[in-house]
Amino acid sequence: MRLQAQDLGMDYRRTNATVAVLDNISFTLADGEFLSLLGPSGAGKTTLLRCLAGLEQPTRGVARIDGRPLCGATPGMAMVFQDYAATLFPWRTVLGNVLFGLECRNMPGSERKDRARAALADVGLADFTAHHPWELSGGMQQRVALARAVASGARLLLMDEPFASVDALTRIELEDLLLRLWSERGASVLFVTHDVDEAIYLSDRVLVLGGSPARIVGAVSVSLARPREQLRTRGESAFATLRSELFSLLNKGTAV
Amino acid sequence: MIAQVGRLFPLGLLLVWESLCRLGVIDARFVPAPSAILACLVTPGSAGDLLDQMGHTLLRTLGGFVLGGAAGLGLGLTCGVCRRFDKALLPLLEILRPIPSVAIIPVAILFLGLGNGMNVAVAAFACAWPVFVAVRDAVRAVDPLLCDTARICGLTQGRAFRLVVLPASLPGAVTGLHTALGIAVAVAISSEMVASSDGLGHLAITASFSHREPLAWAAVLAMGLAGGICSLVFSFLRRLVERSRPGLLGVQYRKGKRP
Repeated sequence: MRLQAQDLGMDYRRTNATVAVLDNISFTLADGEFLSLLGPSGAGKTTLLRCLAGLEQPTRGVARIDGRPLCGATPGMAMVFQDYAATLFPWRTVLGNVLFGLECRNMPGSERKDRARAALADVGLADFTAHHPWELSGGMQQRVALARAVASGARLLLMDEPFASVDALTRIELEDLLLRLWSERGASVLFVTHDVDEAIYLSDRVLVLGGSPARIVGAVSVSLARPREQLRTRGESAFATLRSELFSLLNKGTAV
Repeated sequence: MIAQVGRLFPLGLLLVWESLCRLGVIDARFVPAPSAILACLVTPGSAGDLLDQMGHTLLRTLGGFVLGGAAGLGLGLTCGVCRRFDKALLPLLEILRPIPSVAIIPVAILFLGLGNGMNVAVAAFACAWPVFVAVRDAVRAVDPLLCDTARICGLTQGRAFRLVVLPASLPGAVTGLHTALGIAVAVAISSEMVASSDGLGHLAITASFSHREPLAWAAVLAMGLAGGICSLVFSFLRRLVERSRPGLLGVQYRKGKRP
């Protein structure tokens, strides 16, 4: 799926003033591309993502999906949040949580279950279908959320700092899992993060968000070879160059 | 250790009470010894009578609980989901809510006459409020991310309500219902004291007026028992649901289960 943001802007109305959060945001996420939105905490990354997900109405501009203006939730789009515990339903089993993503699909129950089980096997949770989310570790819970997004057959994955709340080792594991799922399923991914290294490691292209109201202060293409490997990729000299490039863009963003 | 002491505590209290009566510290004319009350309980006539009256009281409690609980649930869900409805209704509800349930008995008699209907209605009125408040707040406290998840998954508002809001606010609703049950017992009994020809409340009042102190005390003990039975049954049902549908009534981490 192709996602296009055109002059997006967002204002929040406070009691006596209007605060501009986003301004003049334009970019295109190509079909099958892995694009990261990098920015400091509080820059408006989440707001932008929520606008693109149809959860909030932008004040200015339009978002288009495959050329059509976006209105509300779009079939074929899935979202993974940072706070995995708050997006999984404690009264549903792991399988039930994945099935929730297929809830509005018109397909027989057995097919739904097959798809959900396949997605859970894909994220390595085949043996945990009958567990409840609160019986699993944080990393496993985020895998359930990932399985739910994948099982729905999403062609566009919006991810809001999905790995920011797990420990470093789990994070590495989840990053590689995401890259594998992405290359196997060929969906487009828009990945919000505040971690420079993570953005480089995962993406085809990184957009840097900065300033107040937030604008896109720069875009960097990542031409590191795929498949990527944690040690090798991060050790490449190009990785270090990209990192310093992104850091200077981030600094430029805060200086605006 | 503390739990064992707690279990034996009522028994110890009875022993102290009994000995104080025997020693003449307490005037047995007003406060009869537990043995006298017990004797009253096992006397064929009055024991059967007591159980009979407890049955009346429990039925009224149950009726009030079911009707009031349903009204509180319905009102709480509507006010929780719809802000405009809540704002429109708020003044009326906040005026009605502080009225003591016993105070509406005269009005209830005017509308419903003397009889079971009136007692049940008064208990229902008292029951509805804690359920209403608990459910309304539980609906409002549903994590917005859960609702966002439902929207992203393409659920209509109606289905999101049924599949997300309803189960997510269930733990709060159950707490409200548990509180309401205790209130139902108390209010059913008070309404029987004022206007009824049977039930534990009526029995306690008439026994006291006719100087049958042991019977009056037995009735009071039976009230405690009636409340205890209600609470035990509620907890039992709650545990059944918890066991068959884990996570539905809130998540309780047991030892060694926490990830």
